[in-house]
Amino acid sequence: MKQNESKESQLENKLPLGSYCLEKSLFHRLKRRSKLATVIFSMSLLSVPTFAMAQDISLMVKNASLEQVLKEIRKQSGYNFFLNAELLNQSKNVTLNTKNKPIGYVLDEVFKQLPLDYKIDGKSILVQPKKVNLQSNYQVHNAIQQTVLGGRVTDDATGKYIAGATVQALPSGTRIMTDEKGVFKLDLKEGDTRILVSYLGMESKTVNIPNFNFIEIKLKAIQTEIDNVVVTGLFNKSKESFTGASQSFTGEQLKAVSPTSVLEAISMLTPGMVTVTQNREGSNPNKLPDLLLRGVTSFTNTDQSVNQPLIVRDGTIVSLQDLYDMDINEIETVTVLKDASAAALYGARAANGVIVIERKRVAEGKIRVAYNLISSVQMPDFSDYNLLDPMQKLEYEKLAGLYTSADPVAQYGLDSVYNNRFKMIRSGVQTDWMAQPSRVGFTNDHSVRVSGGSQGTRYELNGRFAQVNGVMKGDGRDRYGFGFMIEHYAAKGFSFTNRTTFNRVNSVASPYGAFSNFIQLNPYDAIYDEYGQMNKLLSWEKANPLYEASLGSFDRNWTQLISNDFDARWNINSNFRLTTHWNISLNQGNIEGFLSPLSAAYKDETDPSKKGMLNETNSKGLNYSGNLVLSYNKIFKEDNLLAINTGATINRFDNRSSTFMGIGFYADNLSFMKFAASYPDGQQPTGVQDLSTDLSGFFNVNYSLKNRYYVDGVYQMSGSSKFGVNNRYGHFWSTGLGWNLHNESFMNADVINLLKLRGSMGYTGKVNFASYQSLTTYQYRNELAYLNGIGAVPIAIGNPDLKWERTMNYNAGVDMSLWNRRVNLTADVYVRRTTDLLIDKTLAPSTGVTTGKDNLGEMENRGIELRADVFAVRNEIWSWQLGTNLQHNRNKILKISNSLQRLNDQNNSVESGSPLPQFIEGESTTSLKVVPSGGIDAATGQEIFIKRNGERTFIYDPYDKIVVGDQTPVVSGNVFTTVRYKRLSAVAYFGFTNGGYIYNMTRATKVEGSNPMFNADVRVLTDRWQKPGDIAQYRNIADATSPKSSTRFVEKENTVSLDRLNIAYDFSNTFAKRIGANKLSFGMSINDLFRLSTVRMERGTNYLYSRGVDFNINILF
Amino acid sequence: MKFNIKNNLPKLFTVILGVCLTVNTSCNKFLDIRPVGEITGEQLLSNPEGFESALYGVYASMNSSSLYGRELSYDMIDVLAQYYVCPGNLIVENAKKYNYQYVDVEAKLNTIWGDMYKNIANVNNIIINLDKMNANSMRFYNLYKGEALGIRAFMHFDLLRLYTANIQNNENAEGLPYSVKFELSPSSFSSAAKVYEYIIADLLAAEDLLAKDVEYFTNPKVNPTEPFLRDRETHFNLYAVQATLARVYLNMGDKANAAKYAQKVVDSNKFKLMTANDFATDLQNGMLYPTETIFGLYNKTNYTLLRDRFWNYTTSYSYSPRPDLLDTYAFEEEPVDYRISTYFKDNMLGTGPVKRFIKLLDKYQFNEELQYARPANVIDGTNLIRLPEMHYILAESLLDSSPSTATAYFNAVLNSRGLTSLSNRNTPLTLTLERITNERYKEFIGEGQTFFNMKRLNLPIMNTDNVVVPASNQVYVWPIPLDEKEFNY
Repeated sequence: MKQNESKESQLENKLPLGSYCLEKSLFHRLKRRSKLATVIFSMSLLSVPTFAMAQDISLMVKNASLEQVLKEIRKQSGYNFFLNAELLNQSKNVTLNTKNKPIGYVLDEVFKQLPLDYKIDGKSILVQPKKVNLQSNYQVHNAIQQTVLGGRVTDDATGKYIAGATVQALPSGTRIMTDEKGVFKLDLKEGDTRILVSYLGMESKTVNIPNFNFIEIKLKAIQTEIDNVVVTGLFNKSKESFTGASQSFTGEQLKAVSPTSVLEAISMLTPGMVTVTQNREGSNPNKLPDLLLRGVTSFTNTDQSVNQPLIVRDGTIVSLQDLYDMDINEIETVTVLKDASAAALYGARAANGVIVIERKRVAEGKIRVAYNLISSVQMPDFSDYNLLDPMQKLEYEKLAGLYTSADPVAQYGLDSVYNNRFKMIRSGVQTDWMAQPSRVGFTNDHSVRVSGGSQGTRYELNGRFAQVNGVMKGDGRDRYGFGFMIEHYAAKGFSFTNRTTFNRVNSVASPYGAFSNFIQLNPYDAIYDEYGQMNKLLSWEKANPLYEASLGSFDRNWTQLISNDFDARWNINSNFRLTTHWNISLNQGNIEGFLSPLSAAYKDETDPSKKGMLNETNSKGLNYSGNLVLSYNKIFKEDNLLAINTGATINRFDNRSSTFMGIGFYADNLSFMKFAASYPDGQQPTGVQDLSTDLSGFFNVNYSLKNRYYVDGVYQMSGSSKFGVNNRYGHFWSTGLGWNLHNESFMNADVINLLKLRGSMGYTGKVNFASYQSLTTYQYRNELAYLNGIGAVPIAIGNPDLKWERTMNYNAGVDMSLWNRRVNLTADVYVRRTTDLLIDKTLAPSTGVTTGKDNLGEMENRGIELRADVFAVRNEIWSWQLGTNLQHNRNKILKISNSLQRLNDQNNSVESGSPLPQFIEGESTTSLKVVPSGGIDAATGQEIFIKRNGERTFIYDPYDKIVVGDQTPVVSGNVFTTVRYKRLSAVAYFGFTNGGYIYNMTRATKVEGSNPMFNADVRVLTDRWQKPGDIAQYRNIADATSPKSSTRFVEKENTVSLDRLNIAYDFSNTFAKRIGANKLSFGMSINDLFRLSTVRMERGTNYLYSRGVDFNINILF
Repeated sequence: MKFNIKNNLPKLFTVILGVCLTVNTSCNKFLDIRPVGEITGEQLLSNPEGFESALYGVYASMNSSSLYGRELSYDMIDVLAQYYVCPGNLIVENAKKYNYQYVDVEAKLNTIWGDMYKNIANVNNIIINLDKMNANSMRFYNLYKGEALGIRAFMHFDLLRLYTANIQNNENAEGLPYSVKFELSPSSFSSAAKVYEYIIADLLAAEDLLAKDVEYFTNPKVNPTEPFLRDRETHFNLYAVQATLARVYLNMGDKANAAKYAQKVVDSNKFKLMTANDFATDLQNGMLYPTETIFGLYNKTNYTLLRDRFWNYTTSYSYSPRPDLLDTYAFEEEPVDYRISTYFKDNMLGTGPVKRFIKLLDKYQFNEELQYARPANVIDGTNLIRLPEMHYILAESLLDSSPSTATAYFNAVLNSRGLTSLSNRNTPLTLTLERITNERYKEFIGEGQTFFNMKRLNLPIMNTDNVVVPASNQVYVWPIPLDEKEFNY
């Protein structure tokens, strides 16, 4: 008891001056059910300890002050009192003697001695002067001149007091702020009818003034409502006032599109984002797709990694692989920032847009277990292949002249070979080589989350195990994850979150190697000989890839990552907020490749100490990053809002790897470095270190005038260790304007729910070179060892004038929603002009270098994006939605350098299967340049080329190449439709591309350029020239020279595909309860159901495409 | 304890300002990072260790295979001097026909041009950074700068000898860029005469700066503990500067000055012609000559390549000495030329013993029995200037003015190679320019000097097929890379 009293006195000291309250908040009334939780909670708030919740009260006091009496009642009953402090002071003393009486009785006894009245509202007791008619106290306004209103503002989710919230009386405008206990006391003016309560990060709330003088107001946090904010990764912006182009969706939405691939889902939902089609790699689970947002901004001959958007997860920059391997259940929201207005915050890294991922926070302060299972069954898709059968193949070989010789002895041998094969085929040999390396691939992805804690402190544990097996035998990608997260809300507006995660990915490539090895094989070859032994050698001296696959060779790697994220937030007052985020991550990786000594690669090597090879790369990295953001929000005159965000970020990346190789393994299974006989001749271990730091500061101002007009401005300064001291910092800015037309009085608000015009412009940047290119850097190297010391030489002559590549972005957009949001549309047009593009410039060699980097190139992307959906039906039971995401992007090179022209010449001079890129001013980076073809000469079976001057010739000259078209489609995107019936919903996503030109590799290499010793497309027999007079599409069947890049192989491609057909069912709570769960839902997703294309071409030559079904089950206990 | 932003605003700003100031300096620190083994030029070239590393880098780069480690010592340049045959090797075949337009030959010549200038640029960066410093700030400041200036002149001189016409034939010969910069814009072309001026100016400056080598360069060698002062013959030392000056003047036709500087080197007494005994033990093969090398580069990774090229015999890769080469050594009725037995050795091939050229093969690796007997003081490497050349320069320069002195210098070399003096022969001989040239041909095989000598004297060349190629600019002037012409405007 004594303890309690001391606590109470403590409490009293902290009580606000203006009003006096002895309460357990109304909120607690709702929570009464869990007594324990209430007690803990009130303890933690230094509120009144209420051990005894007895309804009956025993009280014996004589001439005690009202305060004492009420306290005692509260202690015994757990009821809280709300009353004006002045009433307490003015009140007379009370005498009372009751024993085990109900509270109502006791209160009556107390208050009949006083000029006061009371009202019980749940567990709260309101005390008022007696004249007030309590029966009518919920009427909007009464005649009594109420001059002071007291109240408390709490967080609806946590029940915590909100200090620093602004409470404003309307229409008079008198305002006050809540104190640290969330309590306010507001002087009302005559005519005031409402109060407006606002707080940063919370939804503002307007309530009518009650005619009693204490009010509880609960505010909801806005960040839980994705629709209302734009997550920038550094701070959240209100969507209402946002002037840039962005696209947001929740983790659930992603999962509803594609549960097995985060990247696929993001690009399907974002107009303007495309995954670059890599036809060769098919559905290889170990191959990351390339993502492109609004076209390319750098020249590249090979992969698109330089054009990849920046990925920011909870404020930390992560790699594409991190996103690829992420547990989809962990994602709260994904926001794609497309234009300068948003992306300028990341300045020097944002030239290709930004993908911001926010992971889920701890859901609830109660013990909950959530289990998610994603399963997938994938079947190989052979539909693109149309190969010769054994008889056709033999026929092709014969026509190609493989069995013809001028030498009669040789001819005799060839004849017998032919006859043998013919006999074999007749005896029924027909090997389906394509089926050999393929299989049905199963995927299982288990994810468990256990959360718990109290309202002040919450924690979550999560674990994940995912096993992906592709459709090629023996490959796989296993993902393990484990995480712990804790959130704590402390006093004075502080809150902390810490999240530690461990992730590991093991991946193994299929030992069967490239699928193309199998397509080539001749169907008349048998896998096994008559003794059941595997044939090592097949027809035409080809090695049997199945034999290779049976050896101990492997190619595997693993990576693991330990990452810790720490977030702190301090709500200084209602206007200011300080947030900070820190991440430290440790990564490790290993790549191991082993080539068995028994491999056919060593068939000519006699020295056993040189057979077999093990190649190992170990990498490790320590990266950290942090940011600090100060936000200021202020509302002026009711509906003008000023928001300022300023902050700084730092990053440090230090990754290093070492590679070494051993040769000479004496047995197939001794694939460990210990058994290596030696190093390969002349090869030494090597290593790479990639170390860089950068930091930036930004300042963002957003002002909204009368909720209608918006101005937004960002200034960002970036510094990078890649630059010299003189040119270290780059400056980026953006500005935007917005107009919420729907808030104008002349608009019909019933029809137009949302109509917003917005426009933005600004710079984003990119650093796309190594530090030594700007800053003369010396390097020590072991080959520079001199007699009495080691030498150092400059890696290159630094160009101190190198600047950041800058992209000027212009964006204009409209957002519209009509008829109660039945029709929604977002459209954007943009122009992105990249200047100072860093490219090589050829220099006079007497400078000491032959090429130097310089900011010479210019490139432009223009495009349109559209997202639209319509609810044809929408009611409680049924809804049917139709929608589309479309994009159109045109790339144009404005300026290139002499070096790139040289690269063009090189690319031209190389004979390759498909034409290599040609970079020409005025053309797109993806334009297709080939020599015009005049068809096949009917007399000779040779191809006729048309020269630039119109002359016809048999001689191929790459300088006759003309641009035929752009490989990028004119329009691409998807059309989707959603049907929902009660708890069942079905969605279909149809993808399409239109108007892109494609160089048909199958026709070029499998019909025309085919090697007669390999299997080929069936068109080889039907469409090739065979004898004079044939009007054929393809050259002489006996001509096995490599095909030339000509217009004959260029086709315009239009495709339609059903990418995803998804069905989901959300079980009712009653059903869920029946199996002991709180929530249960089930989803099914069929991928790549069909694909129609105007181009008949083999896809997935290195790795097969697959089609199949994904299942996902979510259970919450 | 209420936080009032208004009252605390001034305080807040002070804090922010303070943070900003510390942040600004620490920001720059945060951004000043390099991966292991990389260091910015500014940081490296600020202290003695850094300058020494940079100089070692320059010497090591000079010894790369595209420069003196191969092409400019024993390979391309000696192929042009018609020392070897290598049937089936298209590069060698075309080079021997002076077909510089042949694509692979042209590529090699272009690489030589580029890599020479690359190393010159590196030297320039050293000089530029030295100039920024106080000469008294480092103990060996003068050595660093003298060596760097010397190398710059030395490399430009070789470029000039390779890519421009002989100035003795054409006073107004076109020159090349004399690069003193370390930046991405090229230096413009200067006339050959102007380039000579620059070279001489740099060398004279280097001579002054390296004056202390009189102390540092010891004979017999006593190596001090200071690493930079050890093995001065592997650095571009004072005598290398003087010897180069002698070369340069001789090349310009200024015999008086050529003789003056050659004399300086000879009179320094730091070098000694090898004795017959030295030759008998073929101390020098693959090494810097213990007493004769004025300047050479350290290199010990060349052995395998040299062995495959000169000792082993595989077509299209291995060079054989031209068939009549050995005859030249026996030409003057002298029984023993020590160079025959030390430079050449029989290798038993399918058809019997064949003479192979082994002068450049490290004898301690070549002869397995000696593998562990390597003395401490021998230095593997490439000889770039040796004492006999000074004797030849003196002999040639003094031939007209003082024939007896000239003959004495010439005889000294003959004697050290086991040959009798000209006057002591059965039929006494007189010294002629042709004799000097012949001696040079025999002495400098594998050292890249002969082609320059032929060019200087504008000699017609007797090729390995015994056909005479008349002297012309097509033979003696390498084409300047097209890129240089296109982009140096």
